[in-house]
Amino acid sequence: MDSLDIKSYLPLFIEETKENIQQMSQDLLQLEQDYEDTEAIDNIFRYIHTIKGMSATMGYADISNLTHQAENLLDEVRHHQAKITPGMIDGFFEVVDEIERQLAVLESSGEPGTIGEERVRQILASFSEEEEETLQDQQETSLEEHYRLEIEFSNDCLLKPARAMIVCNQLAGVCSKLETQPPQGSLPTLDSLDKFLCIICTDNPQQVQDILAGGVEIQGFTMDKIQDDPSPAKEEPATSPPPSQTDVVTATGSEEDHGHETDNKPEVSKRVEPHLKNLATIRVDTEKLDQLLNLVSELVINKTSIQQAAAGVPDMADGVEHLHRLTGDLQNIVMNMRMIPLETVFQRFPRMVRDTAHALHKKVQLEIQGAETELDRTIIDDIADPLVHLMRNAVDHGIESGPERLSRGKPEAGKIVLRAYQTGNQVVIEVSDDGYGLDLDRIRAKAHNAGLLNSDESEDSLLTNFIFSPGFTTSENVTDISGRGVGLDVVKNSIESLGGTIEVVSAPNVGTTFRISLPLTLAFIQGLLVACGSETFVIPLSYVQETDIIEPADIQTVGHQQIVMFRGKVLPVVFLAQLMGCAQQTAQEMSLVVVRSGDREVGIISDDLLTQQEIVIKNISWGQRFFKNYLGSTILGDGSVVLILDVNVLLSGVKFREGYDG
Amino acid sequence: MANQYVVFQLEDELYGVNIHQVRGVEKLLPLTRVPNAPSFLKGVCNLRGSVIPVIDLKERLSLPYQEEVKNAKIIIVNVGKHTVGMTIDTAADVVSIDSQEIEPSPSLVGGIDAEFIQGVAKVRDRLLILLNLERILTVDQIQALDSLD
Repeated sequence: MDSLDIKSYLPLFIEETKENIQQMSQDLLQLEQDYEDTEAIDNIFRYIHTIKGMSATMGYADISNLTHQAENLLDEVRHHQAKITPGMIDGFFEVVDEIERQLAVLESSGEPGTIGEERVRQILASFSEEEEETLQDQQETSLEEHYRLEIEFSNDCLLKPARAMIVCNQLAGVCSKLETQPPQGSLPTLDSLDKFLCIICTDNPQQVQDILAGGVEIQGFTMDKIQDDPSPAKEEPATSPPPSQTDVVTATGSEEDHGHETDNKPEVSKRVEPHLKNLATIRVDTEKLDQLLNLVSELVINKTSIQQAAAGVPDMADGVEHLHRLTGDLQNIVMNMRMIPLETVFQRFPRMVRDTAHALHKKVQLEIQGAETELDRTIIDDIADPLVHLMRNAVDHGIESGPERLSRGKPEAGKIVLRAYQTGNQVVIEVSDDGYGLDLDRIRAKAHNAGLLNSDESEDSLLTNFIFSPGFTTSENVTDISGRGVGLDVVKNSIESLGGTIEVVSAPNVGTTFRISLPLTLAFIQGLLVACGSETFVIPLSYVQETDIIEPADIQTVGHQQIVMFRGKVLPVVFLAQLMGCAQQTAQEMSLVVVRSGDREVGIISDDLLTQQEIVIKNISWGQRFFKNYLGSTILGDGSVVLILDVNVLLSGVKFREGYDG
Repeated sequence: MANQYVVFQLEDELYGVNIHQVRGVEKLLPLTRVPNAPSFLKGVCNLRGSVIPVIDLKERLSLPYQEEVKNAKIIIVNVGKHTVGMTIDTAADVVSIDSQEIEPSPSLVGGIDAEFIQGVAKVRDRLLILLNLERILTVDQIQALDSLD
């Protein structure tokens, strides 16, 4: 997969990561109130873990690295090897800030920035409680230099002097000397502020730049080293220190990065633009989309009645035609807004599997099936994270190493199959690997140790469910990829919150399959409208194999089963009128719809085939037991409600007499 | 404490439903029959783009009735997170009833099962039967009663 494909996820990645760090900040604040708040710790852990996974998928090694380090620290807390300290909270906030900065870089340039070893060390140092000591260390080992800062606030900044005060406070932490123009003391009395000048003395220009680059409402700044500073180490005057150059935030390609280190361009000052152009996508509450869809279908119905009323009124023909086209366009847009193929999620996996397998020195082949299966947008958004977890698990834990596979008589390259399909009112996504299979003995032992299990006699099917428990892992090693046991309970929670289910099927040495079933809420399907007496029903086109016209004489009875000979084969048939209790018509011609139900083909006989069209499924929440034969309902253009047949359920209630084809 | 009730008529009796549960009263919308459902499920209808089930309230309450009423209405109610329509003959009024005026229902009022009734109250010298919608529209136990299969 080339970088263009990854780029198409950039807005999504930024949105999701922003959400994650925002929620992480909230949990950090909560944790600050109560250091024993394990729920907050678990939540923070999940957010960090998700950001790590997502950034690794996007190929942003620096963010992934930083979050991995933070995760390590938090993991010690989770296993009671360390306690939360004020320094640690600060450290995590530093991580949040750094990720925010990196997002800003990504947003502005579309390319990942670099965090730099220095900065990571610094953030990690802030986790330890002895903050004064580390500061002293830094002062002893590094040279301080004088800089002149010119800071410009954005035009829409309302309280510039107050902003300036905040900047001063932030800078005071990293600068040993800070003089400003206008002077700090006079700032509160000022009404406006055009330019803000600072002379600072610091050993860490990089952090100063980071503070300013991440500062709210700072439009830009320049930072110049003061030349008469007695610093023999620097050969060129007016050159910003080399470490900062690797962090230059520009839209240039990443290939140029290594060039910077040798090429000491006299880049005297630079301007960073933290204010960024608007995103091309926005997130909309799906409830609003639902409302919009309801309103549009209502509009379509109204349009139909206006069309009928206006028929034969010549003056209205043009207007009605225009209305017809507009509502049609509107309807298409609303429908398209909601449904997207799973491909948008699946696309990222080939690269991810490749990279993950590479890191683990494994050979893995990925096969993707059914990527065209469409799902509601909300589900697509939320299914990405769980799938990332499952795919990583499959590569890391599922697939054995090459030599081990060969010794087990398997091909050297492992195989992972990602498959999506629609069945009835569910969309199923399967992640299968042909690796170890779940180690039940290990799960049993772990569950026993964790106190989840009372006796050793639990059934295998119960045991496999333990892998979805929080903190449960059978992995011996915590790696960058997986094995901390956060994955699967997060996966399960996410899927259940979508109204879906997840199950795992596994056989030793054959492999493991995770099967996610998701409801088809508010999905669109292609449906075949069939008439039965005066009533109309929809048969989902996905069930339909073929249709034909038959005559009553074509129907024979073999044993007690009614059949027709269709394409030289015996096809058992049912009368829709009988199943539905409709008044049966005795026409000369009847319609035969050949459907596949389970592993058999059955013919459904109705009075007439009306049309084939796109159907919006409208769920009926109340009294589900009465609607078990139906996938839901739909509203047709004339406003009438039609039920959609769940062919599998409907035909499961029909007893087909055996022996008809004998 | 006084609560407001929407009052409507079924045959000759007056019934009340807490106004907080009522979303509106509509004219009888075209209904689509639901095959193989119990007889009190009159069908489903299109309520401004949502499909909602419609209960024949007389059937549900086992009230004897003669024939379909002309100009029947549907009262749209919320129970839990569900929205359900119920057929009524006419919607009359909204009345305010103090909770002290509500008396527990006698075991059988007009042939209606007591579990469907919250209580009774006198309004302008007429007896008002206050319905317990939760019970009426909870259908988990219904199958046993109707034995659909």
